[in-house]
Amino acid sequence: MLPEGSSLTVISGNAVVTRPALYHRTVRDRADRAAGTAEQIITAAAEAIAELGLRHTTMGEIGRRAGMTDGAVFHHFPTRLDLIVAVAEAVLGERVASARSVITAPPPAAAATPVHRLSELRRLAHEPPMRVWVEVLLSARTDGLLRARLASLLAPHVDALHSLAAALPTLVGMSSGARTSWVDVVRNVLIGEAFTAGVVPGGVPQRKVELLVVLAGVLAAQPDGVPGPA
Amino acid sequence: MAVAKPPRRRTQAERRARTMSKLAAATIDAIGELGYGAATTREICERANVSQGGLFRHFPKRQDLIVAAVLRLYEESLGSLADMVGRLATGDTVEEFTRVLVSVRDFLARPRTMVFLEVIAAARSDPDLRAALGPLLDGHFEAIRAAAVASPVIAAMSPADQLAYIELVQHDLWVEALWSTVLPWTPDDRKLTVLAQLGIALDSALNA
Repeated sequence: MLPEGSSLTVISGNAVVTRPALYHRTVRDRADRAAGTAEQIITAAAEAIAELGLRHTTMGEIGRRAGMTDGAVFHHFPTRLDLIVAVAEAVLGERVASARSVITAPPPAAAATPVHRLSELRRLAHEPPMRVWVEVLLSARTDGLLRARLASLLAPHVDALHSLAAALPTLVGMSSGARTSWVDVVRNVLIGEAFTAGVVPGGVPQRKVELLVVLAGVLAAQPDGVPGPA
Repeated sequence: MAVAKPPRRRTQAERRARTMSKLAAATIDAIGELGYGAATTREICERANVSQGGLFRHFPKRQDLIVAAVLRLYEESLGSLADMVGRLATGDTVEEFTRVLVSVRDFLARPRTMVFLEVIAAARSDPDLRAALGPLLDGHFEAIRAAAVASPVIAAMSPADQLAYIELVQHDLWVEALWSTVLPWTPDDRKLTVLAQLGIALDSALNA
């Protein structure tokens, strides 16, 4: 337990600690430990959600995976909702960071095509964190409390995605309205794939990625971002 | 004085079909409103006004009921989609094809679409449900394609492009519908115009 008067907030695994200077040493050590444990719990929860679905991810299951009692889990996250929100935030931050590294990494010269970059992004959609995000999003539909918490959490990540997209060579010179439409379509298509993967028989992913590049071309041909007649 | 004809007693088969249909409809409503997990058999029975015993006589496992509900929803949706495309998709201009996409978007924005997404998500962590849905989902694309080719824009695409384009639009509209249930949402008609232009650009005769 942290001494009275100190508080601990965990954001994407980074601890933000407010404490009186008096407690400097012990509180600091404890806070670090607590942050580490919280991070462990978030990781365990994300794994459980990706594997079992949010519905079957109980605090007990999370505790088991993190190697602690569910009491210990509740000590760090007073409610299951708090934990789910923390997981959602960690997963979103991580996915945006992964997208950033795909978009900003200089590709090998031979592979520097828009289709190549998009295929790399598409790969991200099939990794477990995206499944977690899909589960959270779907759950928020029928869970008003979760929905309210997500609303405030989403905006910076959505902004980050849009500014990342501006760095894509394919989109340079495109109006910001056109770019927004394109980013929305790509995001939706990738989430859609994460949704259906392994359940709905897959189509022709390569061609779909190519179509997204063709779509960028259609948009780029409209400098003011307002589609004209064909 | 005319003698009123006594109402014909329903046959057992008719009663059975009627109860099953009521249960499937209640399942769709319950999942749509409450989500997959909260749509318990108890909740469904209450909505359908059928006893739990009655439910299990017709659907021995909850999964059988889910499959029946999805099948019903599926047939309904395909019927409406075929209708919509057939009625609207007479030409191949951007304006006409955008109109088709707008009505498909509005159609998919109904809560019933979410029932599909709920079941698909549940099936990912439930191999039995996945297996039971398999035959239905295997024919999924062919059924949509059959309805969509009523549009001359879709009909003009190569088979591979039909597959890729339909899936792209479907995923975009599905996920947009889901977002709109979570966050305040303004429909982006301009995006649909652009998707219509993409569809038209895929005309296989132009690209030959």
